[in-house]
Amino acid sequence: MLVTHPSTPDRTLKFQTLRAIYSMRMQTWPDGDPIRVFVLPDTYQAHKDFCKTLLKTLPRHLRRNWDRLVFSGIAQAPSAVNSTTEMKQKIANTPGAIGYIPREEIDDTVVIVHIDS
Amino acid sequence: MIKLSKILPALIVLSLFLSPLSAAEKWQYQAVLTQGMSLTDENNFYGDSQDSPSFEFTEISASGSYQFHRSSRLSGQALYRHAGAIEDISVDYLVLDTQYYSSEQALYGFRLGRYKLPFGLYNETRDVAFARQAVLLPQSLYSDSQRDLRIAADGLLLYASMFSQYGQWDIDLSYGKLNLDNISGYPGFPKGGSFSDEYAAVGRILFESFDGSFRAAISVINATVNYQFDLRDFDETLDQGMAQLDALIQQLNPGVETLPITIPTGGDIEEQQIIASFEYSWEKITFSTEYRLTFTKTLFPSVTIPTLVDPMDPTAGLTTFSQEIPNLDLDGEAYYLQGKYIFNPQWSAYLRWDVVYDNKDDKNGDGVLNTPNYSVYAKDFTVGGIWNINPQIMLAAELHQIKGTQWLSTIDNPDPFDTKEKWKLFVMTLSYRF
Repeated sequence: MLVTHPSTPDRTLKFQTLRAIYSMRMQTWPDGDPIRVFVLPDTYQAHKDFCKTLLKTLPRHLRRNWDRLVFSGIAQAPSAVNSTTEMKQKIANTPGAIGYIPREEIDDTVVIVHIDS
Repeated sequence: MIKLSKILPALIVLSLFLSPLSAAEKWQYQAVLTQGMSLTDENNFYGDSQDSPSFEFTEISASGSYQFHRSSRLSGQALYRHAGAIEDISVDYLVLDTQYYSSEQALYGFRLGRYKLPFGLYNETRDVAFARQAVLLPQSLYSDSQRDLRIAADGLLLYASMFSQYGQWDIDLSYGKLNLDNISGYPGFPKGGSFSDEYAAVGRILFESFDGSFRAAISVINATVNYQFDLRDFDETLDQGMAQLDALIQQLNPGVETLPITIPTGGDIEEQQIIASFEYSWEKITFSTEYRLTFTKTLFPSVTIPTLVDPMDPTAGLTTFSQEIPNLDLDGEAYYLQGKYIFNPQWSAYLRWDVVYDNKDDKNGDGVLNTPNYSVYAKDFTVGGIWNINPQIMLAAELHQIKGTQWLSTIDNPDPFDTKEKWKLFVMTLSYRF
């Protein structure tokens, strides 16, 4: 499930907005606050599932674009975390944060965001 | 050799990004080390590679980015690059990036400073092994021997992105001054001359489908350079001929003032390029191709030549006449096709067919003078493989079977007639990032 820090303005996101956020091109929320993007390592099943079901892309395409943007100085890379527990903690404690965690781990420190496709 | 004046800015960039990361949230930095090995049966590539391996390829890049304002960032990369006879440390790019508008539909912004020229699928990341995902990029479009003409510029770049449910459009428009420190001469002209007024306008429109499986781009480059050299430095017989003519005139007509002699010494070179790029990915296969047309026009100044007023009577003195030299037009063509098979995230292999012609109206070089006819083209068939040992370490190897020497470095191979048309090249790189 896609989740954000409770202070973020949107409870639903358009699919293209989610894409723009995870391609690291869109860098601020509509209210002007910076977006902080969190990801799990490429090889984790939760990351593969996120890419496939929500972003509808392959982890290697996402990685290729991040490498291209980061090495050419066009954008910063997403922040990597090593577990869904760490992901939830980071999102709960970082204003503007967005990430994904399994449904059963969600509590009221984060808010669920739905995709309007 | 590396000059101190070039090291200093690079060190400043480095220290900027390697300084204590107290505000780690907004700082990001990364470094990539690549060591290469090259081996050829004929000709030299990245050092003395003939018959025994050369290790004269090292690439160390350190890049970083600092988000100091919600919409502004400073990012830069210092690059050490040793490739055969060229060793250089430079500020690869250093830009102030401001995104002044951002919404769910679009964003606009600009970059000010030294930016990588935005063309094709790979130019901005050509010096980072993990981004090029190969040992060598196709040399037809991303030639190392002419890299200064295509690498970066100091100026302004405007960018825009538009997001739709089908995908994303990216538009870049830029204008700036080129840095031609490491190029021995303009391709096709005598080496050792000097450059001035070197500017490039580069634009690109790129579409990427929503799932990243399809990318297509059109890029346009318009570059102008003034290249000056003195033909007498390159042709001893011409120099001797001039001296003899002068002596003859003095002998026949003592005390005459020697008239100014100008002979072809380069001129304004205008180059236009248009590049079409296309890439499509299935789950296991990525196919990519790029096609480029190059239109080069050289405008020579007119030439004044001293001559006797009356050829039958040398004592009648000297005069000059002015000769217009026709513009030199050259239309080049380059393209490659590449298919890559991804076995799993660790292993992939690729085949590539890569072709370049300096003059598409004389592909075989029948009309060239003072250089082997095979130096105006190159056809390269490549088999390559990549092993991502772990996310930080990558090993890549390629075997090239090449006909022609168009992109062969003239610094590593000073005498063009000493080269061979058909050659094989094996290159390997080991890269580490942190």
